[in-house]
Amino acid sequence: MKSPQNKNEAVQVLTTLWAGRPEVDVGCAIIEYLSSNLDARHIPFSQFFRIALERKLDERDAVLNIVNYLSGAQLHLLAKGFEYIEDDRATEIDSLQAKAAYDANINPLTGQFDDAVKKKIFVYFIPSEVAKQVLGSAA
Amino acid sequence: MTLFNGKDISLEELGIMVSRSEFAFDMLRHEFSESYDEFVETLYDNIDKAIGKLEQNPQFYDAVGEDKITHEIANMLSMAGYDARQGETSGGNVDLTVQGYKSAWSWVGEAKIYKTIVDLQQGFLQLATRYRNASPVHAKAGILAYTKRADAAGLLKEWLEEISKMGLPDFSVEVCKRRGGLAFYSSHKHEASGLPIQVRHTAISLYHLPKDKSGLNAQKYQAAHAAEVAAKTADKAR
Repeated sequence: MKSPQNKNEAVQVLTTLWAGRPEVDVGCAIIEYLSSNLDARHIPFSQFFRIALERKLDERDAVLNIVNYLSGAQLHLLAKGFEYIEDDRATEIDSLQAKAAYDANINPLTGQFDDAVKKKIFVYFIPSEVAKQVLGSAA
Repeated sequence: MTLFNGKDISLEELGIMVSRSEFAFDMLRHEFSESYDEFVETLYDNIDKAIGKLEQNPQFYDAVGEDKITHEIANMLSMAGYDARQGETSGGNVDLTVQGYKSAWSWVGEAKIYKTIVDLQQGFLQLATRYRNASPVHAKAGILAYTKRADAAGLLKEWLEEISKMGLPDFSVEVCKRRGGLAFYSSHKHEASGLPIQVRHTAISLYHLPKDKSGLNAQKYQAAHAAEVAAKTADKAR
């Protein structure tokens, strides 16, 4: 399989893989959203549930599956970021800091044990470099 | 479905949500993998989950060849976040090549229907001498042995005995705790690089030969019974 060169090809890859499953409709809706928001700098995870609900796609597992897929290796249209939010102040953290918080409750700002730290870290997404090339290309 | 009214999803909530998901269950492990070993460990969990789905319905694979079975595994791995491809060129056509998105890490698998030990021997030699050069970013590989014969664990044990006699340099074997008697790891010094290459040998149990009255009378199962006897005879004759 060759890597998709434009939006139509990306949609084709997705619809072939997930044929007959609700992930097709959710995934196409997210690709449509990304195509119109290639300069987005912060897409919260909840935005993808919102996109699904706006299209009456009440499929929580399908949203999780397709966001994981779109941020995975085959299409990789979404890149992840992490932020630490406390007292309405957001601080960007890297994947290693997020991992330390998730696996060992290490607070990324203090370096100390913090048993509530996982409640203060949030995943967000941005269109990946691949998305900018593929979804920005004419079919 | 809750819309998380204006509230983002924390790492804690996401971890709980994806743990129950059909394909996104390792979303955070994919992101947090820091080494090739971690990448491969996560991949093996994903492969085993895919294998589990196949083994739940072995009747679907009675008349199906190895390419089609591998295609199903590749699709499930792609759905889980990998780029899993069949027939990629790497010194020959590799049955299954899997890549993650974080680096150049890759893993290759050679898939065979385990009719006789010779099938696996050829697959193993292709994997170890043709496709895979040991290097820090792709030093691990796998044999996927689809066993449509009875006693998958016994067949894998026979294969372990056979491979132990091949005289591979620095050869060692390790039990795979993850899959009990249905998988093991072997390691040997790679001929080209001189570095160790680890191969996971996995038996996928797709035996389906019902012994109830209608099963014994069904023509398709009679042929399968005959094939099983022929395969056992071939292994004994070696």
